[in-house]
Amino acid sequence: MAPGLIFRFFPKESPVHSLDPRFKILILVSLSISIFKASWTALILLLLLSLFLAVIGKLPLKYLFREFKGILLLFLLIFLGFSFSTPGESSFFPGTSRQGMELGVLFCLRLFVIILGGNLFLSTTPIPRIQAGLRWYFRLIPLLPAEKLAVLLGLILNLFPVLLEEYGRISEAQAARCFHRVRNPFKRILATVFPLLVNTLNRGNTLALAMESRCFTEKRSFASLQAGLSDWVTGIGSALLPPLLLFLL
Amino acid sequence: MPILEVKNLEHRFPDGTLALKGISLALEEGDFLIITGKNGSGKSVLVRHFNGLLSPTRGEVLYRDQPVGRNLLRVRQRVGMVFQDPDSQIVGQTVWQDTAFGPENLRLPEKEIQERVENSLKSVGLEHLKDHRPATLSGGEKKKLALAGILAMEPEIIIFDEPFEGLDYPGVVMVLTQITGLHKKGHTVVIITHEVEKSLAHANRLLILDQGRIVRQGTPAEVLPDLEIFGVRAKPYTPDRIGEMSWLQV
Repeated sequence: MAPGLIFRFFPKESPVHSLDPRFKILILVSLSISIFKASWTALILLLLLSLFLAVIGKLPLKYLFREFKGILLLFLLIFLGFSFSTPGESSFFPGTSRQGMELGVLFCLRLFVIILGGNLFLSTTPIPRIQAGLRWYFRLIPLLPAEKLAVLLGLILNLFPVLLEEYGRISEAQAARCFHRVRNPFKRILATVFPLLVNTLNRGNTLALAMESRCFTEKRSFASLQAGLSDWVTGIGSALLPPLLLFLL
Repeated sequence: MPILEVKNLEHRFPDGTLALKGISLALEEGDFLIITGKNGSGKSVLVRHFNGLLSPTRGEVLYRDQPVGRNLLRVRQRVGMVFQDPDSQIVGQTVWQDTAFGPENLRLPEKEIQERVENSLKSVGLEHLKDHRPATLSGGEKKKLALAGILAMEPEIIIFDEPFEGLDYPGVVMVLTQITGLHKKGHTVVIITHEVEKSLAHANRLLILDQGRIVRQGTPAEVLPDLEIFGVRAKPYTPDRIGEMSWLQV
């Protein structure tokens, strides 16, 4: 199994992969908006639905969760932030409140569902199709440079894995020199961020040259999109589900 | 008539460093040119002028008698460049998508893009990996993918920047077989390398760069005796043994 599956396209043949990207964007937007008002029950249902879709999309969940470990620290920080700063009844741990802990878990769960949904979208949709879908929506807004924006967003999505890859390489090189023994967090951050920035800029520069030599332009061929009846039914149904759950639960 | 002509080229970097000076050369149709020299001699800077990635500070570069900068799109389509590090030039999420990147930029119809991608992948032998992620390919396969991306643009001249770097023996053989095959099909080939013993037997011209200047150019037999003076290993080969300077069974 190759490393680096998070937020990366995972080529497979599945109903999730073949769903029209315009509907996937709609579902993602609907999920992102609804989730911040969703109750516990609605959240758990949405989480189960996302996991179900990841299974249908043939994503290797075991490996994905292993890579999600990297963001556990972020969740911990959010949880601690809420626990210590929210007023309420004191909990079993001094200085924290029960309400704060509940809020922290709720917020982390919301964030996790969004990350899972975003990952599901990116893992099952190739960037050219995402660009084509975005262009379709941007074209609905008058005066917006639809093609340029779609290509730009596609490039950002393309560069994100480069950043993760570079981070992985730097971490390995540092681990090989016993970097784990350095306890000072500032030293650790500096020793990672600086080479990451330099390497990413250098790699970005070479990538830009290589793209230029292959005639890169924002006025390029876009993937053609054709939505069938199944796309409409699945797409609209799934996009309506998060707000419906919000309303019912 | 040369297909590519460089006339008295000079390139100075923004910090004032002189990278190239007084470079003049002509590339004929069907040439197999090897450009060699020590690290930092200006090899990569020179070839980046061939498809307009860099502009000369002085002098000019002509593609079929027209300045390269006049029609960059056409020149970049006809003068393909395979970069040194394939990892840093792969833009697609799958082998197929990466090969289609160039034709998509040319705004070709979908059917033609499909045909070109299929033909390019077939010609480098990667068609069975078309749905794979580039990150999962071996070093040699990544170089082939980079080449397929260029072939899909249907170039006339193909420039390879250090094509053998980081490859094991089978990888070098794999890439060299591709290069010689393309030359036999009629492509004009330019290779930048300091490991001339791997491919010199196939070239008809050899050029040495040193400190941004052409110090020797001619047939491999003419130039070979001076390689070591300019920091390029040639031993144990002599002009009468050039035929042995290949990692293919010639």
